[in-house]
Amino acid sequence: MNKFIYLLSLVITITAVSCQKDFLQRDVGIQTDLDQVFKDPLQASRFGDFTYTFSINDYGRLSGYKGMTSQFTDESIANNAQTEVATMNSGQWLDGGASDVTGIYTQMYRGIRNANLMLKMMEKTPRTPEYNVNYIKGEQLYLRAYFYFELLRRFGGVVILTEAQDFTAASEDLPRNTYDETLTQILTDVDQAISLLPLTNADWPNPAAQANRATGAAGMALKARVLMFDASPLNNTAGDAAKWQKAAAASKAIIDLGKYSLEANYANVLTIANSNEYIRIWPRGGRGFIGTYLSDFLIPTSMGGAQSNLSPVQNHVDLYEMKNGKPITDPTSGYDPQNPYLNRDPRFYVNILYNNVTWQGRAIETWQTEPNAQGVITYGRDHGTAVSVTKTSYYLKRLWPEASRSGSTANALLNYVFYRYAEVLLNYAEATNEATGPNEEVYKSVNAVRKRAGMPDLPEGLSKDDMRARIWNERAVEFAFEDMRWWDILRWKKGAAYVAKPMTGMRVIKNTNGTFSYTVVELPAFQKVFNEHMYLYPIPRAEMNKTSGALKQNPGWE
Amino acid sequence: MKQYEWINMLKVRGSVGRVGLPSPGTGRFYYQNKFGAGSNVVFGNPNSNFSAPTYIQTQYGNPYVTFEESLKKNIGLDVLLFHDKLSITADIFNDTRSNILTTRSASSFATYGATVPSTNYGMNYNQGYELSVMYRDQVKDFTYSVTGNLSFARNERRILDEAPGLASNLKATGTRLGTYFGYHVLGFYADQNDIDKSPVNKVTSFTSIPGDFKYQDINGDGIINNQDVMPIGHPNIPEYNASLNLQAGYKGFQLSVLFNGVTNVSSNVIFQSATLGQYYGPMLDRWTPDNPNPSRPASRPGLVANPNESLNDFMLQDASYIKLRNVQLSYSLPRQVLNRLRLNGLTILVSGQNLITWTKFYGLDPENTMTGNAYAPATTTIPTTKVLNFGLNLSL
Repeated sequence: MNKFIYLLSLVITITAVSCQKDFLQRDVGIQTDLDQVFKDPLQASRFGDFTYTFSINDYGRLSGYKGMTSQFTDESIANNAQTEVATMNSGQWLDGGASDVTGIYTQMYRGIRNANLMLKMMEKTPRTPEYNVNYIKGEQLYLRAYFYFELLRRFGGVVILTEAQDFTAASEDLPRNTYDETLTQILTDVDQAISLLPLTNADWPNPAAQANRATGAAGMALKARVLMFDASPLNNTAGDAAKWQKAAAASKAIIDLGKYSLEANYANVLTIANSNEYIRIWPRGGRGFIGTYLSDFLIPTSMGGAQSNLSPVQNHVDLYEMKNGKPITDPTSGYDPQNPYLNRDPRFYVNILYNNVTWQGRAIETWQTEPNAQGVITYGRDHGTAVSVTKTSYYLKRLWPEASRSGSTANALLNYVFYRYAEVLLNYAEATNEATGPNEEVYKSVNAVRKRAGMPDLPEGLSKDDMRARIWNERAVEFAFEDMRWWDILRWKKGAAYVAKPMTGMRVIKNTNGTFSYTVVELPAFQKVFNEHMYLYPIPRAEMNKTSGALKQNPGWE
Repeated sequence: MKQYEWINMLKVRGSVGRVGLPSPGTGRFYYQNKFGAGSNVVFGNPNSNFSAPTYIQTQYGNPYVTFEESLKKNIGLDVLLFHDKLSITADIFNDTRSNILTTRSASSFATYGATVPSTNYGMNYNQGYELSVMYRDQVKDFTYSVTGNLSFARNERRILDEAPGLASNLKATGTRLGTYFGYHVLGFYADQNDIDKSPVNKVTSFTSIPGDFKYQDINGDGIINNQDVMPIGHPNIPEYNASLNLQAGYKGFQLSVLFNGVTNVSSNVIFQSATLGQYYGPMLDRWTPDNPNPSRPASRPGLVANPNESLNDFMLQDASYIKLRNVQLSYSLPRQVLNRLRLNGLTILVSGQNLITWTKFYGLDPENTMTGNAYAPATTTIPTTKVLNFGLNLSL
């Protein structure tokens, strides 16, 4: 009995003691207050790193990974009309499925909010040697500028928020800022970021782990791109040379750093891990095969993939000059329409897979026969009537590392490049040509890019207009499938000329004697719509539904 | 009062109540913000990159969060008549549910840049009646009862999170829970000329063919797309529920029959089998130039997203039904026989469930309303099963 009383009193004591603690106390480790988070420098910096995740960070990013902006343009078509591409192709940009309109609008503002919060809260964090406030501030400002530019190039002027709103203000109807105000905001942020950030990847402490964060040079490259956008016909209807001058100066500043140079081999540009050509990339570790854009978007079943939904079009293929530097439209170029892939710009062979080229150990077969007596057409094994094989006889090679094949465990690198030195050179050439005409500087920059590709120099004595045409062509070829063409077309105001044109493909007929004949065919089923009001995206419909009048839609989309 | 003796009971009930309800799925700490690990971000050398952890807000708490509220009112009548043989129960009710925890995402601007916490905002109103009548009697060894139930409930979503500028045909505010939004069918495209002069059908990426549904371009923008849907048909929840239960007993025999029926409910109809690539029988009455007033649109190659299969008021069907829900017949052996067998009880029974369905709905089962317009999930809905039981109950 005594024992029992003893035990009972023990139980009571324990209960009493445990009751002294607040039993409603939360689990340790769950923080409920932003101020608390920012007391710890490590957590604070991680909160800031989250802003990066709102970046656009891959080429195939539409409809999961089954669509690219390339398919909005005269580079390629979407065989299976994936919603997020098809809505853009058919001009239904107000459709909720047009993710480059709706998704990006939301994603960028999410990034902006995180940057705004970080910029405000970061001052509260105790300083440690690792918690470098300059760097953190620079990163957030760079990213905010980047987000606002992604909005600016789509929508024009947008609502500028430089402080995170309280949730009670989330339904506040805010008017859009003007194009100029948004541009100024971007330039202010990016200038400050450049002054705060380490200049290059190598200047980051511990570059092996910290490279490819924002850098001063990345800020400069962004600034150059922003100023190019501002100087381009879309935003410079008057043709103000001073705008081009500013754009040229921004690119020149990067060239003058002397830190960057072209990668020796064009074929390695996206696939090499480190290069002096990269100004900023999103590092992509080795990419797997199954369940990625490789097997599910680019590679046909005949090559071990699941489906191929992107076909490069003839419109793009025709842009590759002959190896001798002459466009194929030049009668003296030596272009043979019945042997169209001979002696072309070496970049063609890097970017495009065509009939009878050797790839992964065998010849690509995108030929077909003339119908036989029974009307039956025989197809090469990489061609056919199925939806997910090429519609143009071409496959995309640029973003398909040769090591990536079915059954192979090899992981091939393919980085997402934000800015590379070739863009700086071509930006500089384009801006200088517009500002002052085709001077020596222009030739030097374009020829550097051509030389690396294995192409001869541009002919001397080009007019300003000729030079512009050559530079535009150079950009189309050099940055093929790099999420560049669409934005170039928009800023040049060339949608009607390039996008609304009939898309074409090559019909390769295998003759009975084994030779091939080539006919360019139009693809009316893949005709794209581009109207004059489409140089600016519409503000997403869901967003316009919320306004009581303060938020205004872009012209033509009302 | 003698003349009222046939009334054994007459009771009038009434109640008004206001109750607080916890919102489903919010948990105890919804008023708090929470922070935790976010998805990693990659820096460094692509070959040996460094996956940097991030720290994010994982819950956007609402410090003002409170209970949802329900104001219920009810008037009822209980009557027993003719020596308790007839009993009637009737109720009229309404229920105003307010402060429903709602994410205000449809009215919060994307520029805010984060998830908006749910706030006590929404309101639903529900009203209706319930009636139950039972008559039971006994004639010598024969006992029987008849029970009828009828209920009606209609709700209205009074306050919802919707963008103020949402087109009126798209607004769910004021509609009932489970309302279908679909296209209004004006007819069939007679020929290519008819297609050319009609608004462009962009419901799917397929171009129109003669015999396709001609949908109404509600907003008049020349394009028929998801902005041109409107509330159609009845909701997917039946408004009327009725049942009839018959019971009879004679000596050891017991028979029970239950009918159950609903009406004011709609369900979508599917055209084709998801796996076989074949159309169902009614498609035989499809549109052809020779059959311009059919019950189905023109046929298209199977298993593709077909603009005619998008939810529309031509194909949305009345899913009213009456089912013979349950029948049970049993026989218990009389006492004398049991005693001889030295048993306490022996009952033999036969029962069946869902034996007969009377409905105009074409499909697997009107009871499982098909709410989507995608045929694949709809065809995989499992219908209620027909069950037959034979039983022997032996007590020792």
